[in-house]
Amino acid sequence: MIISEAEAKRITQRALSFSKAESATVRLRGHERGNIRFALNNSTTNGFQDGLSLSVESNFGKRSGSASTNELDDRSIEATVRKAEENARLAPENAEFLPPLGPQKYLESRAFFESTAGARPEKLAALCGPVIQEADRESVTAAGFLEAGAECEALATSNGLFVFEPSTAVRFTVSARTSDGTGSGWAGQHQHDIARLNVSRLGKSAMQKTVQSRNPVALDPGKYTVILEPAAVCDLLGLMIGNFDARSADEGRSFFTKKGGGNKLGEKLFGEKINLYSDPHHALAPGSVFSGEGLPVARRDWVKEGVVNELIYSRFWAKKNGREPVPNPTNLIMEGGTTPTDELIRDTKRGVLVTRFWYIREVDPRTMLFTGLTRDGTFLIEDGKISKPVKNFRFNESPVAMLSNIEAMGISERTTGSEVDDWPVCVPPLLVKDFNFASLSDAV
Amino acid sequence: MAKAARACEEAKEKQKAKSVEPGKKDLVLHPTNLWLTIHESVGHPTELDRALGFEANFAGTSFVTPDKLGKLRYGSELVNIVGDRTQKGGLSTIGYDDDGVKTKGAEFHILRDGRFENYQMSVGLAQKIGRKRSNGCAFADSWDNFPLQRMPNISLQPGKKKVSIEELFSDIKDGIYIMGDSSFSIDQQRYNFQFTGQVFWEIKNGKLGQMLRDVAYQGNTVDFWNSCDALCGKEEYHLGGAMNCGKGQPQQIAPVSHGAVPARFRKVNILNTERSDI
Repeated sequence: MIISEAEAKRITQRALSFSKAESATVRLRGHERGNIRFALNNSTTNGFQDGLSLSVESNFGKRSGSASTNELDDRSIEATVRKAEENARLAPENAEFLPPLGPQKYLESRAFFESTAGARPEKLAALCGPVIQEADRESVTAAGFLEAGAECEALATSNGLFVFEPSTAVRFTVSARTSDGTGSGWAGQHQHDIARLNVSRLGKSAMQKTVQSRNPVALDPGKYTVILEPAAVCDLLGLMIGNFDARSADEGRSFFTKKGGGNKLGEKLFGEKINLYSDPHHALAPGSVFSGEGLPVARRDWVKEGVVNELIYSRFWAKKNGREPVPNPTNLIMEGGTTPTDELIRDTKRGVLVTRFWYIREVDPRTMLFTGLTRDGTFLIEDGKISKPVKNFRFNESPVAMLSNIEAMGISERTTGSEVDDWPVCVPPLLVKDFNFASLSDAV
Repeated sequence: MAKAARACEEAKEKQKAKSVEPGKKDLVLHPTNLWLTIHESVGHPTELDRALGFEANFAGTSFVTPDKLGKLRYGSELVNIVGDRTQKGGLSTIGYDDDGVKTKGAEFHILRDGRFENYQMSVGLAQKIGRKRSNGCAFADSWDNFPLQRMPNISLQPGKKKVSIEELFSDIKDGIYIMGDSSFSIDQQRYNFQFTGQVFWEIKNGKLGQMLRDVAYQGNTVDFWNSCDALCGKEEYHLGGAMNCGKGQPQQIAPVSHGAVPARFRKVNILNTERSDI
């Protein structure tokens, strides 16, 4: 259920009015989401999910407890508050406890679009139909998922904070496989505004890759020049930004740990042209205006001209270090160049084009080494042209090395990845030298 | 508390551990590590909905296609892997699945003496491969999600004889003993995997040696399970598992257990994760 700001304020204040704890935080979350899923060129399931739930955190001294409910009458709310208080009294003391925040100033949210909030399963089905028809025409087997809807979140504390933010999101991904099982392709997109989502174009792109990728040849593992399409870059950078944490750096558990103690804030670790930032008001990929405990989110330049310009500081770690907190980003933008992907390919003598990655995991946080695999469209580029499909690789590589080995950047665009698939991300395709493919995979 | 104290000691020892020399080595995997390898390399590939293509857009498909049913030599003859929703303490244990199928009596071998014998099935899937009934593997994580075919408890059965872990070490010239799970990755058809662990010890000439670090093992599912040449007895059985296995779109989260005994695998590809040419 999506409710108004006034209604959210009424419910959260009602919950706080029942509190007998020294301090309390209440969070209200609502959603209305429709979805359709298809596989084997047929619709398999569709649904519409509608919910509204309240969670309460109560604090006595440094003891905290929580409880939640989706029944929002007075009696149920009061019972939930009592339960949170009961749990708080049972909890051990949290040495890092900080009282809830008071009033904050937030940017205006730009993440809600009526066009998406009103999309219902009938509309989603109508959008997916042509994709399945395209698969039939191309004699490939398609599977996909389209989900659209709205969310709202309100946060209120006994210290006077109140913030409310509605948002919308639509996500479409489609994969296809050739009938002989030797080729596969994929395309996907995440948007706030469904009007910006071209399902049909994405479907055609996935089918084209599928047909092109039939009968791949095996290349030897090794270091290759690669063109990483935006979906692949999205995953590596989206996972990388999770490592921009001051505490894990200061405690010696991170790539950003400085030898001898402290962290690498202010050090130039990447190339001059690398600019990574988050900004709730980004035109293509707006983010949420608050984060976690209610900290306001504004533009942050995480990497500026290659220099580590910001690290995330939790409230506790900021206080301990005499700094202002730096909340988690709510979107991720990498500035790109002006070269279309076709030209990046044209300028490549020999390299591998990667559509996307799959199952990426961090192997070593000290070096930020990641492993994962290419998937759904991996091609050899020779003399400026895609010459043949190649078998998938496992990579062992660090996004830090990737950002240090960039030879050219394409145009930054809104995208989605395999691992980072529910975040607003805008990144360019990258031409990168010496990308380490460690072994071959037979997977298609 | 004893386990916590041991972990503290191991963490200190790890600071001084030797970086591993990569290459082909024999492995002994403790169940605290092996449960995740079972999950990824046997659990997911033998989900029938995956094998048929229903999960193709998200988690992928499977190398274990229906034509391999009853034929594929998945592992060595020592490898018996059973699916059940009745195991005491199992995270997937329940009386009836979300199709309403009674789980007692529905226990099944996925691998029997190394051969692929059964998929995990829900009601709607069983008839697609000519089976008259499912084996009770339907699960929905919430009232507002569709039941999918999800993993039962999937466990490697102990060897028939009483074999200690020291006996597994005794026949190894150059190997590694791994406890605990950490980084894990496998391709979308479940051929190529790469796993790490929490603590690693060198095995030299039949004896446990010094602690190692920077270890990952990488392999191909069928080659790996066929390289299993020894298992401990039931005395060493340990049940591990996860609360957060993801599958489906919209994604659903399921809890699942995997039991195992320490097992030995021959000539597995060992990587050094600190080297740039890994």
